[in-house]
Amino acid sequence: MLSPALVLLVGVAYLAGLFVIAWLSDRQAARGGHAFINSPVVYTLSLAVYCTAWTFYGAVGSAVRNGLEFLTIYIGPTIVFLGWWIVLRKIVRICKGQQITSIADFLSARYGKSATVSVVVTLMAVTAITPYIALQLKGIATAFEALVYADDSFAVLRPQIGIWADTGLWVAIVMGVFVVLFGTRTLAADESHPGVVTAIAFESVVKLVALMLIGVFAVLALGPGDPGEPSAELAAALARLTAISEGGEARWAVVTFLSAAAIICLPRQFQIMAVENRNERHLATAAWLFPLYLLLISLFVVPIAAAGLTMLPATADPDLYVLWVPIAAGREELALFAFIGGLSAGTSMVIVSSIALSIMISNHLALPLLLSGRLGGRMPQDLSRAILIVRRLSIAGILALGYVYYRTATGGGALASIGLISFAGVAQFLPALLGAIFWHAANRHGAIAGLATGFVVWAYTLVLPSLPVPALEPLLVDGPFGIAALAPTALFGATGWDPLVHATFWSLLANTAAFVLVSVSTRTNPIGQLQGAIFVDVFRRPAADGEPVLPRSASVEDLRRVAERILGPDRTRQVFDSEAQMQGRPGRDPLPDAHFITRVERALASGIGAASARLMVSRIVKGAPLTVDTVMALLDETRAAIRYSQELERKSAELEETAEKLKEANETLQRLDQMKDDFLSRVSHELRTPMTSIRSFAELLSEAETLDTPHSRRFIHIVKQESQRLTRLLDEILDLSAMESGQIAWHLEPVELRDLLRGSVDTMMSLAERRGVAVDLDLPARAVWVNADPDRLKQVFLNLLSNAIKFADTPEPRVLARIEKRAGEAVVEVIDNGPGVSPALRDSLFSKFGRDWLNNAGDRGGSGLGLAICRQIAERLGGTITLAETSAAGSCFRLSLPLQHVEGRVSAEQPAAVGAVAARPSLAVK
Amino acid sequence: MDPDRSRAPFWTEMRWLVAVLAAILMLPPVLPLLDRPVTVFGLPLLPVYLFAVWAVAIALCAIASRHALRASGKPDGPG
Repeated sequence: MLSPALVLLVGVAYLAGLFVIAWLSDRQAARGGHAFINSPVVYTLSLAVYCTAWTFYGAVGSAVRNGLEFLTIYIGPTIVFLGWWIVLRKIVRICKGQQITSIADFLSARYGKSATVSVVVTLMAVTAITPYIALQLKGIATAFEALVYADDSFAVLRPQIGIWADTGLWVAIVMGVFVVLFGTRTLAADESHPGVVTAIAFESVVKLVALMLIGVFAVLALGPGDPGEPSAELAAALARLTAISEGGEARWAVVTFLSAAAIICLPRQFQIMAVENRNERHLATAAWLFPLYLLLISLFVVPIAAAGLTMLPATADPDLYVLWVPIAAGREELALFAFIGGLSAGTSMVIVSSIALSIMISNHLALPLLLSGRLGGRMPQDLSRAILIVRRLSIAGILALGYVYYRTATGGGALASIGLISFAGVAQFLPALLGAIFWHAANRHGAIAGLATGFVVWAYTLVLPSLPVPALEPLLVDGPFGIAALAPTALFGATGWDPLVHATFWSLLANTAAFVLVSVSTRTNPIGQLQGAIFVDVFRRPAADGEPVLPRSASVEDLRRVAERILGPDRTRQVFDSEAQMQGRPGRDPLPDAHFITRVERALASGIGAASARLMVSRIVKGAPLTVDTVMALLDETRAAIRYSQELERKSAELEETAEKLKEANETLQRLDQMKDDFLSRVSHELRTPMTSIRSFAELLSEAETLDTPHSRRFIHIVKQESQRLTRLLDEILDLSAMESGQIAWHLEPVELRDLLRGSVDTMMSLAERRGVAVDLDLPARAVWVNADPDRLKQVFLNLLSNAIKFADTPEPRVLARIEKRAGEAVVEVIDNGPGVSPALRDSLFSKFGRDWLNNAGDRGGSGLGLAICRQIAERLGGTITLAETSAAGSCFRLSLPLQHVEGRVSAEQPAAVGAVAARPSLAVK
Repeated sequence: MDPDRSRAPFWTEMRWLVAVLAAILMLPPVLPLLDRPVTVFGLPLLPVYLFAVWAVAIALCAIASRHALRASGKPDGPG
């Protein structure tokens, strides 16, 4: 075994190094160099203060006793951090805005700045954490003894030592000095301690490296490159270590839940995560980096445990395997490193816990007593020094309490069970904490009721049975006064439950029930309503608006006097100068408006807690007494501001959308306008051509008397033809525009399509014969009825047929007209084997404003408006007309109309059907 | 539009999925199903499974929070 002097020397050297790191880091921060401490990695590493000596030594012991259950201690925090933006970010944001100094301050500030809440939380925290601090002292002391006094069979032969030779005492004293030096040097604005945080981050690296080193060593010692064939002994050890114990599922869920609650509610975690947080963005990195740290530190627990089970005698304490596995393999320097790792894990927890608890004790227990004068004596004018002294005394008190607990009470319990009792204790904060940030109706009475109930049930069901007092035995078995239903470990007949599951279930059930029921059945005082709105709506409030402040007034002199008493002259000057700067009056006193009073109160709160700060400020302010009406008006204002900003956001999104639509509409209009211009110029051109020829021939006729009869006849014929063309063109334009503007009377009636198409083909027969085009008809056997204006519909048929005949200029021109019924529609198709429609024309074929319509149509004797009219008619009749196919082998125009289901020709006399269609809004008006 | 900005909502949704799935996959109703004497590369199944889920969740969360940090510029608003 190792010599005591060597182990002591290394331990002391390590702690001295810690002092140097903290001192250097504090000095750097004082000079304004925050680069190192402002990194999210340092923030994450300091969060790893979660991993204590319990983790370092106890995880292996827990694996040996309960299999994989040790992982739940890390899985809970992992889940909370993976969901960091739900709870953690909100807490951090509130803490930064309100200058919160501890979890007790947080809850007290939320619940109406209630002093009672902060006192209850402080007492609960001290009760729950003292055994936990004792656990760390015990862990370090036990490790020291294990290294120094263990014999060859790994039994610790501890000599009877006096108190002055006890490692635990010296660790407690050194830690006390450290915390006093670096935790209470000054009263910082935001209760942050850069030196401490850096030292904690360093310790986190040391313990992780130490544990991983032992782990790698254990893996190498276990199986030298032959994982396929583990020995029977190793296989048995692995099977034991990697199972979930019988009935362990409930414990698994409960411990995961407790550790998830602990990562938020433990005072030291709250201190590091929220109070010491320097930048909210660090949380986004810690969200994955901290779970990664937890994964790495738990990765080698099973190998170390397996190595211990195979290499060490069965009597050896599994909580000490981390130290003894290297010793059993003859590597004492590794064991020494493991001891340093455990020392770092234990000391970091003690340091941060005692800072957090001392802030709570001094702000919420000692200072209120001091300020109220109940402690007697004259109050000093400058309280800032007194506050620091109170803090230092609190630290000494906490460590002394922890040490006493360690000397008297931690006889037998394994590391893990003590830690879990603490976890279950701080988990009692969870209902009040979640209610504080998510539930408007949660109030002071509910919080106090819930916290107190949970605390009592926790103490009764978990702490009491764990005390090594034989006199309690009958109470535990039979219940108080022999009432079995009240037995601490089997409340209401819940026998056979695991004690931890039992206590967690009942305490949190009672806690939550009391919190919710009392909250909903009592009235919230005005300040509680105000604070509730500030906390719950922290993300909904627009950043620029700030928070609602109470309308108050006070004199600058009074404010300065109060601030100087608590903060000291330097900090006071800082606060006043920066406010004057913000108010735009540098060099003068700031105006004591409501905002400034709130700011001063918050600065005071950072030194003495929200409840005491409120008390001090309320003594000097004037203003209307705080009534429900005042606060409601204030809250309404805030709500209105929130609503207004949301409304603005929505409006601006709407505006953007409208602007986009307008832009589109404008583009369409411009395109249409362009088309209209084109159309007008082409129509004018087209009208001019016949007009010009009419005029010139008319002039010829009138001027030349000598014109012979055949010539003049021919001229007159041309004039007649051209006027007819002109008339036709004008007719069609008028027709189209009349149709578009809905001025044409439509005579809708049931029409039999076969007859109509047959008639149309007959009409076109003479033209077809003249052109040598063969026209075929393909008609169904049964009648096809549609509701239409027969004249207009015939116009469509004639137009399609005449186009087909006119454009059919192939050697054997053919045109096929046919009717089909398809899916409730009558489909009329006119198919030719002409040259097809040129691609440039297809898009604008049915448009009267189409680009090239005249070039193509005019020379065939049409106006080029025929298809545009066809489309108008088809749409007016509720159908469509399309160019279904076109290619060099021919084209197919398709007219689809909705079928009308009528029984024979009787329907022709049904005016209702006609009326129904006529009542539809005109499609042409779009 | 910047491609990273358009992908940010996807990762905003993903981080819910990661946190909820990690919680479900590492808690009892699922876990006992994997507590059986099977080995993966000579290692027991249950711890291999747990560490694998853990590592994947960390990786996904890392990607999601990178996107969150880049998209926000500064962390603001409820999101």
